[in-house]
Amino acid sequence: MIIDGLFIGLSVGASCLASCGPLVMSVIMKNTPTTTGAYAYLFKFMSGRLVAYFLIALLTCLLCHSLSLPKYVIAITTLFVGLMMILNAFFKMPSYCLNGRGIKSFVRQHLSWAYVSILGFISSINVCPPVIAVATSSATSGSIIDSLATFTLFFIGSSLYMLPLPLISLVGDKVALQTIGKFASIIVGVMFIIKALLTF
Amino acid sequence: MKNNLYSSGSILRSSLLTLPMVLISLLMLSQGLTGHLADTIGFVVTVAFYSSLFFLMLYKGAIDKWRAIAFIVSAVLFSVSFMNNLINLRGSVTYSDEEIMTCEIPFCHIVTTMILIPAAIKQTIIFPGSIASGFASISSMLVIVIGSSIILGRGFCSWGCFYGGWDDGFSRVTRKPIIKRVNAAYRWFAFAMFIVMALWSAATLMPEYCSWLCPFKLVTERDAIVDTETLLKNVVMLITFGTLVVALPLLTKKRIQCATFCPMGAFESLFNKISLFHVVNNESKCIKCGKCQKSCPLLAISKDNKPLINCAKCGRCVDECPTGAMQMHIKGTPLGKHFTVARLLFLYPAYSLMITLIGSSVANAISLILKTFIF
Ligand code: SF4
Ligand code: SF4
Ligand code: SF4
Repeated sequence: MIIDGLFIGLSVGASCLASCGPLVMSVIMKNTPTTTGAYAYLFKFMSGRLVAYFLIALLTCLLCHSLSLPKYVIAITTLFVGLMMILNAFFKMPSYCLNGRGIKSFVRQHLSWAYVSILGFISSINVCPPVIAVATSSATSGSIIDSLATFTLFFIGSSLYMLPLPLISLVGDKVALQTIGKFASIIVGVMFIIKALLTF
Repeated sequence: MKNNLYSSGSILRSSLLTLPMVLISLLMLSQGLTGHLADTIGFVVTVAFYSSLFFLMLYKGAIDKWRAIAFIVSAVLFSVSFMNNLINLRGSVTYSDEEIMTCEIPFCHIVTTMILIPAAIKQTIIFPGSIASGFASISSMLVIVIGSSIILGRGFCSWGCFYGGWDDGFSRVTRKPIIKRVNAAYRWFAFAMFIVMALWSAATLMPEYCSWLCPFKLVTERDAIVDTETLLKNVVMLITFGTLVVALPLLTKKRIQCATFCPMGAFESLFNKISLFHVVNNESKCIKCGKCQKSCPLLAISKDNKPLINCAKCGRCVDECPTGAMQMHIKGTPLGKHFTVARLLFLYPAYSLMITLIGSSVANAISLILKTFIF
């Protein structure tokens, strides 16, 4: 049933918050935007996550069974997330410049969107138990549309828990927030790299 | 010294003001008496120890020096008593998977930072200890730690924590710092640790800081080495203890573990926003000499000489300030007035917390030492 996706998302959303929260929080704090900017970062991350889910939905539907990724793929993607977090600690994301012109400006404008979205995509492509549950449900649904709909509802249900995270940007001391974000990125990055090395 | 207490220099006033603390010590510590001579001596020595240090704080009008003696001795003797208790209970200071499964691990306050999110969103306590009964149960520790933090803010980290005395002690060994400058931005590392560990522990449903990073397992209890993972955990523990609790405090004269690494310190700091007592710089008296900033062991004073959110109310800057600009203040009262009364009023709950949380372990350790070497 398509609606199962929503219920699974709502019931496991807290786990998703705990898993993706350190990544999202670190990115938001490090780049210390306004609250609107912080929500923009969250949605960039979520867009990557949604694309990852759509990909899983398509594959499960086409293969007619739930996915299980080989160990080395999980290790490589985990390593990639770790390295991206370390980069986040040391480089400032380019901010949007609406009246910029030319290739350089275009790249700058889209770099932060791409970076955070790719982070969301890669960290979500590692199939975790809740995703396997949705994939199993969608694999039996038969149609691609149903599968995509199930995953979309799962995405909505599990994303609700993430919505309060950008409120961290309300903290007044932006320098402190940025420094905490930088350190958090390093800690998370190192953790992911160690996790990747242990998975290999 | 411009921040002398009302009692400073007067034996009579200091003695009278020490009396309530003597009574509190008697009340809190007499519960461990069994009739054995060693226990009685342990009890008497402990009451005398805490009471005389309290008297000295009042009489000398300087707090940090005497507080530190009580804090450091308490931490060391707590470890002696705790480890001995474990050996009596379980036969070892290491824990195995079996002890974890049967929830026999005493609760430590640092875990608070990691159990809150899972408790809030999953109604699960992710710690293998007893909820309400036995030695250091989760509920009793939570009530004491959170209750005291509401009143004292991060004062817990200078007065109540039974680990803090270790790095406080090592930070006082050398006369002058060998590494003179510590980048004050590292104070925010502890906050990053707090956020990451709280969320990571919620994801894995394991108190990950305790499993992997806590240096104080060396002086309490640790994983039995049975495989590569537990070996690795023990190696990490030795490294964190060696660097953060011993070497860096020796070199910098700062409490590096507590100032930059412990997630509980960051969590406690949040209580400074609501607690009654806080340390302030009364700028009308400040001559901007920077002594307070240099002396703060927790990197808790900003470049413009103002105490920050991570102040642990140790009292050192108040003692060191040559003009009396650094003051203890009770929220809601006028700044610059009654600051010595505020300091005195802070001392009672802060010192009572130390006696309540660690005093009986100190008495127990003294009694144990007597039983081992004399009786
Ligand atoms: S920072 Fe941590 S170890 Fe240090 S005193 Fe506070 S709670 Fe204890
Ligand atoms: S020690 Fe006192 S006078 Fe000197 S900077 Fe600090 S608050 Fe001001
Ligand atoms: S600001 Fe003062 S009272 Fe607070 S931790 Fe530093 S020295 Fe101690």
